[in-house]
Amino acid sequence: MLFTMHATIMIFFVIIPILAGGFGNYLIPLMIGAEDMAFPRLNMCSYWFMWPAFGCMILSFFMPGHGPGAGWTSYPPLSVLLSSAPGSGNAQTLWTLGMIFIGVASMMGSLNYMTTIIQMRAPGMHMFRMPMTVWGMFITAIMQAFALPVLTAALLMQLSDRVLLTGFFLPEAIAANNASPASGGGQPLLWQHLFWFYSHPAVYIMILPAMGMVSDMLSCFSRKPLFGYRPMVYSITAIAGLGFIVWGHHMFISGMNQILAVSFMVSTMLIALPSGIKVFNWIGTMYGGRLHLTTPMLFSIGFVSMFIIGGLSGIVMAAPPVDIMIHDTYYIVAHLHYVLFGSSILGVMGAIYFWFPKMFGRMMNDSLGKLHFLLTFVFLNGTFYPMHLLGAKGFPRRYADPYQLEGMLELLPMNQFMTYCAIGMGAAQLIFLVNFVGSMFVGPKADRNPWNSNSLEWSAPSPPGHGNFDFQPIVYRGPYEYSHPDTETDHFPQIVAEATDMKNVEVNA
Amino acid sequence: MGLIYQPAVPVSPGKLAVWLFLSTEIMFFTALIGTYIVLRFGAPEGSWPTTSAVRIVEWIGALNTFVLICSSGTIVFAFENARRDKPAQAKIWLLLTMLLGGAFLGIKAYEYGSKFAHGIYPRVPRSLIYDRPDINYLSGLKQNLSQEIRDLEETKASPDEQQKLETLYLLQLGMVGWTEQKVGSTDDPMMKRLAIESLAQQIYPISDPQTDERINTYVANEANEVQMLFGEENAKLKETELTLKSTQSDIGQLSGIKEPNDEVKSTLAQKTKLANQLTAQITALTKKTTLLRKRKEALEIFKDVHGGINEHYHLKLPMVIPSGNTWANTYFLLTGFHALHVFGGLVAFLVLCPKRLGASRAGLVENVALYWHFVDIVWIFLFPLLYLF
Amino acid sequence: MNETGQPTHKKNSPFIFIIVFLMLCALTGLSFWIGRSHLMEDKFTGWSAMMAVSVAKAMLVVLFFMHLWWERPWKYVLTLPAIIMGALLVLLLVPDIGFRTERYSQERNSSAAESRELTLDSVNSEDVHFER
Ligand SMILES: [Cu+2]
Repeated sequence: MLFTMHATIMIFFVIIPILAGGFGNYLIPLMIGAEDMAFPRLNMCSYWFMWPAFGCMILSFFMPGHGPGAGWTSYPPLSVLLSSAPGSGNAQTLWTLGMIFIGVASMMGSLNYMTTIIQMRAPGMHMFRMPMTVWGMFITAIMQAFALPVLTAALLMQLSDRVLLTGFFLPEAIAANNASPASGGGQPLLWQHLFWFYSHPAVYIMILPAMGMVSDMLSCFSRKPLFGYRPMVYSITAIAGLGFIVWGHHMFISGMNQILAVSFMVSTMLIALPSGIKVFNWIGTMYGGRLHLTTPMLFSIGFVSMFIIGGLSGIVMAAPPVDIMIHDTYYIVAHLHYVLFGSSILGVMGAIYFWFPKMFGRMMNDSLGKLHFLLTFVFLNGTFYPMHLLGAKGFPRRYADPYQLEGMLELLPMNQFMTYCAIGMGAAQLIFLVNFVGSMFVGPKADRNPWNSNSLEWSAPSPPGHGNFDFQPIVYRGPYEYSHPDTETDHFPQIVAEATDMKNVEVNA
Repeated sequence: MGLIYQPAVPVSPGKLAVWLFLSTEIMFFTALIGTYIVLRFGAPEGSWPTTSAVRIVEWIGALNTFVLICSSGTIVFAFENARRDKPAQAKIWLLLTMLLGGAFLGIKAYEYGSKFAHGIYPRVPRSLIYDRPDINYLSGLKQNLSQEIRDLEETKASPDEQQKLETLYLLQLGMVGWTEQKVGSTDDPMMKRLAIESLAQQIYPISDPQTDERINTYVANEANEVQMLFGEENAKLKETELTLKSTQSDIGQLSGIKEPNDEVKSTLAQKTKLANQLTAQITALTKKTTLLRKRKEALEIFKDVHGGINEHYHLKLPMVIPSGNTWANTYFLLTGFHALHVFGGLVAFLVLCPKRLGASRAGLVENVALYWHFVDIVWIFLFPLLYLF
Repeated sequence: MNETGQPTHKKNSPFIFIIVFLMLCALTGLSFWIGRSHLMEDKFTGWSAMMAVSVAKAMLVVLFFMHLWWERPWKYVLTLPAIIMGALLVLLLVPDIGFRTERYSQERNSSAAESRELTLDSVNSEDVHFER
């Protein structure tokens, strides 16, 4: 039950809302030069849909079974039969309901982002002058818009299987508790397909905005233009496109059609291509730059390195034979935490350090930030790296007591080590919390552009008041003109028309 | 301060958002219709119910299509009038659209009602649909029937209900009991299946001329057999009764003898034994003939029942419709969510209604109209998929 | 263009809408007719014909009622990917769910739905014999 809730809450209530909800709502209008999102009321509506969703999830903890019984993937028949596990009653129903609410909320949000980005860019801000952050959010919104309705439809069917006793996902001749077999021609595999049609893209929904933000930070702190801006854009578009046709790699051992499995393997491996381009471009951006090792920069570098590890282990398991071997072992857990925690969360942390001055008008403490990064990075690897080894040895996930299995007892010390690291990692976040709250009140005042960055939001006041801008932003160039030969300073903001105007900007600021 | 922007497409953000929303709706309905398509065409071969088997009336569907197309037309005129700043006319067209939308939902409700009246709901325990004529179906039928009888017996009945109870008794013995006995007495799985199949067909016929004919032949053959068997068994019964009578009178005579010798004694014992045997035989034969008589009666009474026993007697006994549950699931899923979208459109119209629909609100009318057309398009695909395929 | 972003299309007089409306009605009648005609003898032909009619109807609604005929085709940019993605989803469901019965186990098959004809074909109802 706790596993379900850890996964559900982390994915649907922490990462996606912070990335898409928080940063998206805040940064998109600022970065494209808009007063606000296109539909503030729709935004509120989306926000208020989050609360019933959260309420449902919390409430399900107080139902018999203390939380839903079927895991975050909610596979039938476990998730559909009302008597299959302690948490299969109301707790599971509430989980399903909560997911539907959050689906509707995210969909409204994504409509808002797309409309805002398409229609409300400042004059001169063409699509290819948008910062990568906005691109990441834009592609994410598109993916959500296409993938979420499918999950919502599947969830509605599952809900009706539970409440109205239909049989979309129940196979023939399934009998629970000695009841006579229920007739029906439903298919558990159908759920898996529909679920992963959303939930694989969801992985990219969780990482694309972070990729965008990291690209911005890397370029800014390398004082160099982003290496290959257009290829970057094309590669996230390609990741998004391919991301829709790879969902089957989660189902290799479900008894799926083998030809289908192979085609899913091929498309999954293809994704390594655009991902590789991105990694290459990040490294290319840093190469030969004048690196400023600030806290956000450290987190960004952490992001890139963790993404390489997580990405590589992903390619390994894309091959069905390998996946059949390591399926449901800690190898998978290691992979997903390297990508989601190692990459997404590190990216988000970096982004918080980076945009904190804009949000609150004060700087965060850099030394505490570096300490926080160091501890997080070390403990993160201490926690998740051994999981690869455990997984290769066949250590299964989702077991209450795996040590009963043969040959698992010798792995106990490694697990204990991981536990200590995890505790250390949790403790390290306290530093962040102290730094965050403290800096809100006592941090040194920040001016408009503390990092000497180019993109539009750094030309707005810190914190930007109502309406975001106190002038009409007009954009003259892309966001990555660092160390431009014509300028004296090493940055060249998007709103400045000529290199000779730079002095006026300094005065204005 | 009002900032100026550089929009990528020459429309209001609202209209763009509606089009984006429609794209997400395409995905939503794709998931639903896709589910229907794979479940339907992947169903075991030939098992998908024909429209008549699930009491779908094609022309009602066609009528509903027509109604929705009309409403699509009227909303176009509502928008055209609003665009030309004729709020009064626009309002009339809008009201007409609402009326047609309401009519669509009304017809839908009527269709649902007729499904429910036939006992077609999604699944057990409320659903009475079984996928194949097997032993599960028979026991389900038996349970359902005895429950019905118990309920009726408890409520001390009116003459009407009394009559219904009679029918149920006859069903219990002459149909279900007979089939049960038949299934129990044969080892041939095909015979078992055929017996249950003919029973299911009489309760809820899946109208299909070819099948009907074969079942009818089977039933007619059976009727002849039953007639013959009943004659034979009845004769046997009569004969046995006569033998018993003579044996009993013999016993009476023998026991009348004052001082019986050994021979008499042994004869008496023999005769008594025979009498006991005969009584047992008679009990068995009576049971058999009763069953046969009931069967005969049942076959006669239920022979020409129009539309099946369920429909004729307003009963809701379990029925066999191969893939019927999957059909019901998908049918109610697709039409249900479509109807919800229609309802959503009506709510949007209701919100628009009190406003002045001049040129300034033309954009708003257009956005709602776009959504309404999309709902129409979905139905354009649902109609052949659900009613004509 | 006017303020609502609506192109000033003078051409779309009510007549066009009435003609489109009549065509839609006629096409509905056509698909209804196909459903009862000899085209349905070969199911596949009948289905394809009906789907073709439906696509034609949908195109009429999209082009005229939803004004795409008069507007720049930017909307395809939004809706076409959705349609392609949807088609792909359904297509990839086919091997696993569409052909599911091919891989049914004996046990599962024995409780799956079965067509009536199959049930009856296996027995000749003419020579039904009874236990005496
Ligand atoms: Cu995946």
